[in-house]
Amino acid sequence: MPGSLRTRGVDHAAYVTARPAETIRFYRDVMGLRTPHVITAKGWGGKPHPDFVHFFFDIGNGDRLAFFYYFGVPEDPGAARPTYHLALHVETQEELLAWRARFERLGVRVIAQIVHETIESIYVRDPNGMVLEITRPLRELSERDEFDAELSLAALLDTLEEDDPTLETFWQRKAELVEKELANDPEED
Amino acid sequence: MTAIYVLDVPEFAPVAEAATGEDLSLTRRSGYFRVSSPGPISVRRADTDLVDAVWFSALSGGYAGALERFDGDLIRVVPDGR
Repeated sequence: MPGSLRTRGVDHAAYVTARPAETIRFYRDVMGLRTPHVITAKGWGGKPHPDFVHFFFDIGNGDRLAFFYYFGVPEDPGAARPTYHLALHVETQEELLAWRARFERLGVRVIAQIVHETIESIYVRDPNGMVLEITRPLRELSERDEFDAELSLAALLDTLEEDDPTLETFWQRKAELVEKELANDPEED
Repeated sequence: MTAIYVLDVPEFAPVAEAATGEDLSLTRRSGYFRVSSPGPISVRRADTDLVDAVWFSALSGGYAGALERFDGDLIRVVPDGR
C-alpha cells in the first residue's frame, strides 16, 4: 500500500512525432492548447537522431503533453499505429459534447462516443495516429471500487501463475477471493 | 452449485437483479451481491438495459461454476462438476 510517498499527477507524457507540423496544428490550433515550453538541443538526442525539438502542450491542471521531433529522421511508412492512448479529463457532459462539436466543426473525425462503467468518452486520432480520448466521470469512485480493484489485481496475479491464464480462470479466482471476504463479514447490509 | 458475485455499485447492480435460476439465493453485503443456485444461473441482456461496456464486464466480480455462454445476449454459468 502506498505510504506518505506519493506522486502528484502527470508532469508530462512524452511521445515522438514524425509529423511535427500537423501535431502543432492539431494540439495548438484545433484543440487550442497553450504551449508553455519548448526545448531545442543539438547533438543530445543519441546517435540516430542527435538534434531535436521537444515541445509541450498544456493539457490542464498543470499537466503537459510533450512531443519529440528528431531532425533528419523521416517518417517510417511501415510503422504500426500507436496502440496506447491518452485520455484527457473534463468535468461535465456539456463539456464533453462541446469538445465533440469542436472537433467536428474543425474537421477532426470523432471515432466513437462510449459510455463506460464509470466514465463517458469521445475518441479522435491525433496526427500521429495516437488515439486521444476525452472523458468525463459518470460517478465518483469510492472505497468500494478501490477494494474491488485490489481483489481483482490479487486474482490476476494468482491467475498469471498458471500455465494458461484465461479470463475465465481469473473470474473464478476473483470469486474465491470475494467469497473469502464475505465469509469474514457475515452481517447483512 | 453456482454463484455470481456483483460489485454493489449503480452500474453493475442490474446484473444481480436480472439473474435467474432455480432456487436462487441473493445476499447483499460487504459491497457485493452474491447470487447462488444449486443449478445454472442465467442473465439475459434484455432484462438489464446495460450499455456494452458494463454488459461485457458483467462477471467482473467473479463466478463459481463453469461459464457455458457469454455473448451479447446471454450469460449462463452452470455447475462445473467439481
